[in-house]
Amino acid sequence: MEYNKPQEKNFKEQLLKKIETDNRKAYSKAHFTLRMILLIVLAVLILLVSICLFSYICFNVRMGGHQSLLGFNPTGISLFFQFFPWTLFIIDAILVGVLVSLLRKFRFGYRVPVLYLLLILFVATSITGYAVYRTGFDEMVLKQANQNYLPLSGNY
Amino acid sequence: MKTARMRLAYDQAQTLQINKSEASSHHEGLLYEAPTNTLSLTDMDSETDEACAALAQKGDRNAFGILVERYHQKLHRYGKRFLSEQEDVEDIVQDVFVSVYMNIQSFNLSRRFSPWIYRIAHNAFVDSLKKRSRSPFIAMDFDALLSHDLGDESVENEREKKEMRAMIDKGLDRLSPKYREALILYYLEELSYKEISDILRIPIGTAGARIKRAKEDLRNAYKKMNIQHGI
Repeated sequence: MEYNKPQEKNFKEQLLKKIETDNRKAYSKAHFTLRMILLIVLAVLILLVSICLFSYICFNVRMGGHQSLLGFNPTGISLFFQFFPWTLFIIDAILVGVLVSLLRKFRFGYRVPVLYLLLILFVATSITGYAVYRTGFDEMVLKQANQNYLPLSGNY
Repeated sequence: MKTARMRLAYDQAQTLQINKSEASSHHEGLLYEAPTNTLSLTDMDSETDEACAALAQKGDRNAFGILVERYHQKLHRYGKRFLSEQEDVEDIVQDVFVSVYMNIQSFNLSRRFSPWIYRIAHNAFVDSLKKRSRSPFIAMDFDALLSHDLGDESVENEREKKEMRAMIDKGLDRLSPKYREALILYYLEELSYKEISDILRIPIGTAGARIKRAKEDLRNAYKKMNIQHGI
């Protein structure tokens, strides 16, 4: 379908009329800035939760004494995997998946193959989570919880 | 360098002034008033898309009109081929422009306008395909999972490209929408891998691989039909 100048003009007129009659308004710059900020805040929150969750997984394994099972050859290793908090691990993996889908809205996110981005984020959150665990953060939270105090919610 | 050139074009556009009544005489009583320091339609005809988008962001309806004129045919052609002659292409294209109008402030002036508008069109066409076919091709994009070798864009000469365009014109409906779209954007809309990557939101290597696979699929389809073609 080839268009000539009058047809183009006709389409343009119709379009502008439609915009006018439907009372369509252009979104403001602030609208897009706010959306971007919300997206970044959400991504950062998910990242932090994922890091804390991995740290808690490490803490959970240590507190249950399950890591010592690894020294008992195949039977111990098999038991270790049986006692491993898989539910938390799966939740952590889902969080990383959600983070990937959020980051793919940015150019740097979709330019990297999905699997690589997923692996990079998973490894990065796991290493950071392990580093947080090593600082004794979870032990501190447990101590505070024993004294009827929780971070964010305070005394209970 | 590119950004600097666009800025220069935009600054030049800003310095040219015309009478407000002359500029707005075409669309009386429309949504937004043309600013006093706007351009005549003839001045704007020579401006880049990005300069027009910058003016449209400032509320210049003539600049938006110029963009509509420049992209109407292109988007119609893209939609017609991508949606395989679906009847309501014109309506979808109109919705695309309404969306462009509503989201014009989200356009980043340091980037090229064409991938941005094609991205909006791509979303609208994909939505339309989903409504009609319920095909799972968009839901899971396995191509984008791993990296692919980025084929050389410049290997094909003009004659080969011309032949490919002729083939696409005849055999496009034999391809799945995912591959069809890659070929349309590369051969018919003449966009680069990088631009296609931005439109489809996939890695550049995936865009190259998709085009390569689409060509192979097209060749196979031609073979099945026993049609000889020099590709």
